[in-house]
Amino acid sequence: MKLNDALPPIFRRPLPLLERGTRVIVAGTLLDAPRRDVLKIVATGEGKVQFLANNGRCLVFSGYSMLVGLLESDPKDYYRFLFKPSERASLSVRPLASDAELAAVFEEFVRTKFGWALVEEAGKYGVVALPDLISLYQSGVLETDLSIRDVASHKVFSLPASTGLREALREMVKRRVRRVFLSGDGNKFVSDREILTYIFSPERLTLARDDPRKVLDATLADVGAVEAIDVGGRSTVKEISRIFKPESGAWCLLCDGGLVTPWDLVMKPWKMGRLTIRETMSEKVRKSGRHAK
Amino acid sequence: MRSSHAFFEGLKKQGYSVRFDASLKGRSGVTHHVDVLAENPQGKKVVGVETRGKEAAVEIISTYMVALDCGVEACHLVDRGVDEESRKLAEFYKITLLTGSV
Repeated sequence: MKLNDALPPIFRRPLPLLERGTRVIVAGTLLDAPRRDVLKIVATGEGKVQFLANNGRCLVFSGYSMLVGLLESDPKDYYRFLFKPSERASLSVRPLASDAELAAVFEEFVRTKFGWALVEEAGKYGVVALPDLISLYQSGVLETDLSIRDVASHKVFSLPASTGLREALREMVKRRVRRVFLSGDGNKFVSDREILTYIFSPERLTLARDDPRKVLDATLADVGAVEAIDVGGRSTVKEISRIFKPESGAWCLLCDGGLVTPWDLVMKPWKMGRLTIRETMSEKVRKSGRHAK
Repeated sequence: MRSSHAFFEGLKKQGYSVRFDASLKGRSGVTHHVDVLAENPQGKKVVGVETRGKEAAVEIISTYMVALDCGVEACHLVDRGVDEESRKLAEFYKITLLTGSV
């Protein structure tokens, strides 16, 4: 199954572009209006858009690259960091070809640990992300016999609500996790998305202008926790994929004390060798036409 | 939406001096270019940034960035009406939307 056959909408939706030189403060705010995984950095001039690429790799701005850049800064320079060009807080990624096998997306996610990948088709770019893969359970392209209990993680990362944001973010970046549960507070957690929204709120930015350390001078409790949805462990992954809410960057479930994230819904079955990629009717027709020739 | 001409004429009547193509240095150390800068004798500043034809959200947030960094009131000047989403974004960031150019 080819990527462009499985997910034709990738190139129909607009890919948010970021002009070279756009400040981190603008780029970081744009990640949240509406919620996006990644922004592609481009150069513009004479009415043309030029994608910044080097050796086949493209520059992109993501929440992860922004947080890594912020954490590498001295706290007294936090505010100045927000005014650096977004290229200084970017990642260089190699796009997948749109006619690559769908399996290549899973391999790329495993390799990068990001839940998104850039896709290129004849000079046009799109982003494939976890919600796209989860939607393939409903279209029948992906199948697994696993239940939600089978894909839950029982080692749930948690910290006290009083933990400072710098410490919490350092741990999250080091462990490559997007959510931290609040110790002893049931289903409540804070995601990197809530932290980004908090950091980029006008109130916090005004405080940070006057005292740069204030960018991360707050606790997880200050950010405000959200609640994971409790579900029964017997539900199948396919059933749960129906209630997945892609517009919520922080969506996750708890089942039998274990955590299930969007990553777990597709990547765990893949890693366990329990995910089947089925051919769509159009691909079958295409292949049979090829054989007939 | 008010016209930018009427808005800045109103500021002049209140004692503001108005300059075009001005620069302001922000707390970040970055120098921001603005299309119009009005300042009253007490030092209160209002800036106007014209549309550059980019995505509306990028432009409004960029204008907010100037307002934040320079501690000034900011207006974003558009050549025609804006959609509801942009209007809400400007309201959230306390950016005044005006029509016309300086």
